[in-house]
Amino acid sequence: MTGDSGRPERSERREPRNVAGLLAELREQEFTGAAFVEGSPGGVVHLRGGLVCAVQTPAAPGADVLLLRSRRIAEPDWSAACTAADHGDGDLGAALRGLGLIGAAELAVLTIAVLFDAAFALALHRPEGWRVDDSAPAPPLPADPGIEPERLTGTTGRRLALLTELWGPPGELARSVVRPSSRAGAAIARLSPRHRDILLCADGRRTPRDIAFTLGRGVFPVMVDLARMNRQQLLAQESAAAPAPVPSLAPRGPGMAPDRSAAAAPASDSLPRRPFGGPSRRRGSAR
Amino acid sequence: MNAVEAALAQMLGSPGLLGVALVDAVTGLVYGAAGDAGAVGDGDELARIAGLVADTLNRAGAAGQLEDIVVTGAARLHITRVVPRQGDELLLCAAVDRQDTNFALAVRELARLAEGVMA
Repeated sequence: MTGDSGRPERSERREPRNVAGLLAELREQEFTGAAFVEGSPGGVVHLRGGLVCAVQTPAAPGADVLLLRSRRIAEPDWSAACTAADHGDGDLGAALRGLGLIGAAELAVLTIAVLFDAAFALALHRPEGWRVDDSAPAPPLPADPGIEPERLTGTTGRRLALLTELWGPPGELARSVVRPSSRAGAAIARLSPRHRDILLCADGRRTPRDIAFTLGRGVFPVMVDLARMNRQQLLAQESAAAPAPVPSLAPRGPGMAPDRSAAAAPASDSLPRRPFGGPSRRRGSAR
Repeated sequence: MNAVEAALAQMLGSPGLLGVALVDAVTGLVYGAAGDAGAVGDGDELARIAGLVADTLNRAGAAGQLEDIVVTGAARLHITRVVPRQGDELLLCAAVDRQDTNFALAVRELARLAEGVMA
């Protein structure tokens, strides 16, 4: 939508350059509430006093998925904690600790890990806009205290840069589906349980996000593991999928450029830069 | 101060412990630090080194057996202790002054601290 001048209308939306700029602005204001990042899949950044205390997005597993899928907490225990929180003051973290299901330090690790992972997953996709709401309900498991937005965006940028170095455009990796290569069978006995789990999960249909949800791990750690396993020629790619998202949460700076190549590349160019599963793998015939 | 930092701060009374940090072994994310964080090092680097050592051990047929990485300097020890858990492993990383303790005691003490850090 454009105004008379042909420029985009600014109407009710604030216009920092990107989500990182928005968070910096909200930090200055010591904002408490939520920033809804619109797009596909989009997400919500919760803030308390300007610090980021939670990030939620369908693109990354939440604390419940991590605890339940990793079998750290059994489903009946989780339900009991939710019920206790509902009947109490709504503090799920206190309920989990009160029932002896998790310690304070482990809960802090969990909430911080989920927060950073969700921010990374959000950064893999181009936001279509955002709006802030100071009356949004508080998240169920906030990090306490929150994280400085500058640290969050800096870490997200470094994560994107690391994956770019290890694999190529992170958006491309996020859309990839992989399966074990012919070398993986012989190597599996000498892999860590973590890498073995990924190989068992990589069935040629699951994306890194699917693997993360299946295993109860973060999307970024799964993508890092996949990129490193690819370097060891343990994986073969099935095909590229889906349209191309572009990260934009990352701050501007050296090594933190957005992954625009993923969006710009035609489908036939979206194959990985390095050969998957050894020299015999394909060129240009993936579809 | 989050709950991790509170737990780490309590460790600073251990003999010779200059600084300590709890780091994600896969992502390098620092969940908390106490004392001289600069002496402990950067989380990304610590995780990368631990990953390289673990991969080497795996290829040597000792998959999943990494417990500690100890770097000995003239004045300091640098100890990285793997903290196993349900989910991705953590690293308890510490810088220790050799004047106040010795190698064996320091490694044993960090192993003891690692057992309790997630309690």
